[in-house]
Amino acid sequence: MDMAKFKSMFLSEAGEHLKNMSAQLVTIEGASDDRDRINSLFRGAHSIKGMAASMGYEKMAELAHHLEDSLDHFRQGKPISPTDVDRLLDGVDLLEGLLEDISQDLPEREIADFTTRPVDQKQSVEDQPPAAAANPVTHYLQLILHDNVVSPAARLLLFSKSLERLGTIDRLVPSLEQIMNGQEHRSLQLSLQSDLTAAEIEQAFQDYPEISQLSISSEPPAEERRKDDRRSGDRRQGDRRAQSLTAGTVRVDTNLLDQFINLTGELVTNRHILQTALAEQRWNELNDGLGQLGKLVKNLHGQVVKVRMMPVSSITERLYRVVRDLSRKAGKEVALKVEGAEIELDRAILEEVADPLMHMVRNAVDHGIEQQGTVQVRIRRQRSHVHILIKDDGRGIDPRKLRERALEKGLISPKQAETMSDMNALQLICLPGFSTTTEVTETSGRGVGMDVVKAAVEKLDGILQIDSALGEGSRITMKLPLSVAIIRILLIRCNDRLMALPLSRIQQTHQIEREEIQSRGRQLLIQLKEEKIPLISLRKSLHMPVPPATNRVSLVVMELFGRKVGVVVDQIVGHQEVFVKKMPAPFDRLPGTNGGAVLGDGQVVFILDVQGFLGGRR
Amino acid sequence: MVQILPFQLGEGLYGLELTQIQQLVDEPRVFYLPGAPEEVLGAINLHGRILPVLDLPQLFGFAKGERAKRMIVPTDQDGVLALAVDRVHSVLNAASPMIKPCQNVFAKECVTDVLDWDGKRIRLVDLNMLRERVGQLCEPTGG
Repeated sequence: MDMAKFKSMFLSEAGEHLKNMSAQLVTIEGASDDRDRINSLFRGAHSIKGMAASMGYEKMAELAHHLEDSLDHFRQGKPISPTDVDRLLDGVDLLEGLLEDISQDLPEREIADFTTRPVDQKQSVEDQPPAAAANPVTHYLQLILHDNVVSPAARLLLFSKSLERLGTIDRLVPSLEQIMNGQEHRSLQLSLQSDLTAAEIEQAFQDYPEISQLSISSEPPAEERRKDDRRSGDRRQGDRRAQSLTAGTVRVDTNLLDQFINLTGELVTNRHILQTALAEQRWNELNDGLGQLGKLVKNLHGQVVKVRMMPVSSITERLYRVVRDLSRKAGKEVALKVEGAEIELDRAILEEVADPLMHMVRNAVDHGIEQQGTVQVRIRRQRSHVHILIKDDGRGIDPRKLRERALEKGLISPKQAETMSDMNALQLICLPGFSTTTEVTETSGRGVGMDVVKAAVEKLDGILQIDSALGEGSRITMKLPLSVAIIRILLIRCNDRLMALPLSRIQQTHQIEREEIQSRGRQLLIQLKEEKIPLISLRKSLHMPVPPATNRVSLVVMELFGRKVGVVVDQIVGHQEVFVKKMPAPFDRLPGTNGGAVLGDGQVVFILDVQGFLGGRR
Repeated sequence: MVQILPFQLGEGLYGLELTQIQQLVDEPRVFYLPGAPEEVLGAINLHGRILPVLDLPQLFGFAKGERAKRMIVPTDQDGVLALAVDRVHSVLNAASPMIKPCQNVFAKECVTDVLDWDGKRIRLVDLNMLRERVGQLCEPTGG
């Protein structure tokens, strides 16, 4: 038995419940008579309690139980005040903290601080036995297997699973962990909260010949009383990341799995066809077979991409909480509206844009909206792209101020400032070292600026668009590809080495004569239509020897750090569609590439992240 | 009994347990990896997988230079990379007790155990330590 597998399932499921709970809680204010929502919250806490208990995570189970109790009062019709919501949110935070401890194999943090904190006047919560309020009754079960049963561990796991279907398991001895560690266990002790009567439970197990003895009682065994030796801990809540994204397990629709197995079957057949055709040298059949293989692979790729897809809601749910906390703190009234959160994107992309999205929403609340307003996050599908729009109805961005500031910071020249259009001026906020507010606020002063947002979007082969008008708020759009894996690249050569640039980042390619190059100080420039654009040498950037000058120069024009730049390369080879592979850790941290691809002839080519390796020297 | 694959790095003799090695690759073509530190020679294509090539002699402080045509690929758990060395020797069968912890740990060379074999000292590379060093190497600020 693989304990790690159970644990990762637990982590992802509990994480999901927590995420739902915190989203529900934020929206429950002002709608406290929403029965469905309260019931769903209650079920969330209940499920977490059950799962945690069966895995032997006692603190987590206890805390979930505690929250379940408080929620039950609201279920009975007690109105929910903002303070109640705060407290419940704190509880959910603490549960997330515990989950984090568990995922990192740390001991569970202390919860006594929270559970013993008085709940204002509702002290009675603690006094009432939980079972009195709800229907379920607690049964204490002991189950003993026959001596001759093979693989008792598997049996016990099975039974604990079936018991879960009957109700909520609270204390399991031995714990699932102990069972799976392989020691010989032939009995199981647990308490089960269930609507069923003892007789009904007994009946559910009568068809199992492996059980030699099953006793069910309503009284706990004598030694089963909890010891209370908890001290308060002072660990702060961990950072709230999009847990389920990184948890490493995916739930897959069984229909998809069926399609996978069918495709695999077809691939096996295809392989035999190809082998036979080759052996018998029937070239036509070989050709047909290869055509068929192409289709199968494309189909397979499509299906795999589907499995990787997740709804954008997985990263927008936590925004409600952020906006709520932020506006309460700043004394503003900000509503968040999310549209199209059901649209799906590759999980790798979602992972990368989660923080940028959060940052932009924070920005909108913090700097955009003055007193009262709405932040909208609108997600739309546009052919092979997904557009995420972050819009606020606040004061908007003043392009004049942006110009002044960029000039002040020496990021642009006076002449540039003069000729720059408002639209281009707005893009200035993406320059590294540019920040629109002088004071660092707690909310936006988190080390992520718009330059980081832009870099993250572009690393994904996406585009960031900024639009704003004074007094009419701002609109920032992230245009993202649906999936990361397959992209179009431009192959280039430098110093006899093959490299690639993502085609989507390239505006145009040029062949120019050396005489056309002008210089201003140490900076080389080229006049392209109306504009003068600076040149950088890829050879120099990559510390390659600089070759003797040739007459013709190959140029790739792309946008770097918000400016058009001409990248000088030795040779432009052509373009191609490739499947990009991330470098294995820790090599994925090397600056300079965004992964590699294997070309049809077996050559390996790496996708250059020009901005990445120039970044360090800017 | 332990099977050890000894290999030469500069003038030093090093080794890895055979169980830690997935395979040896002969004369793979090494492709350019932009932005890589000196100790990473590039990457190879191993059955469609892209593996970075670590220049072990240089990492351990020996001189730069041509390396052996044969590279060592450790098992997946021990890292997804290929190791370039100066020469690969043939496998030894050593008795476990002959492997001893070394007096002073060669942290830079990721060695904690040594094997005395036929009058020669073979330093056994600890892949966990190696992985940590590679991690530092790949830090944007480190290396």
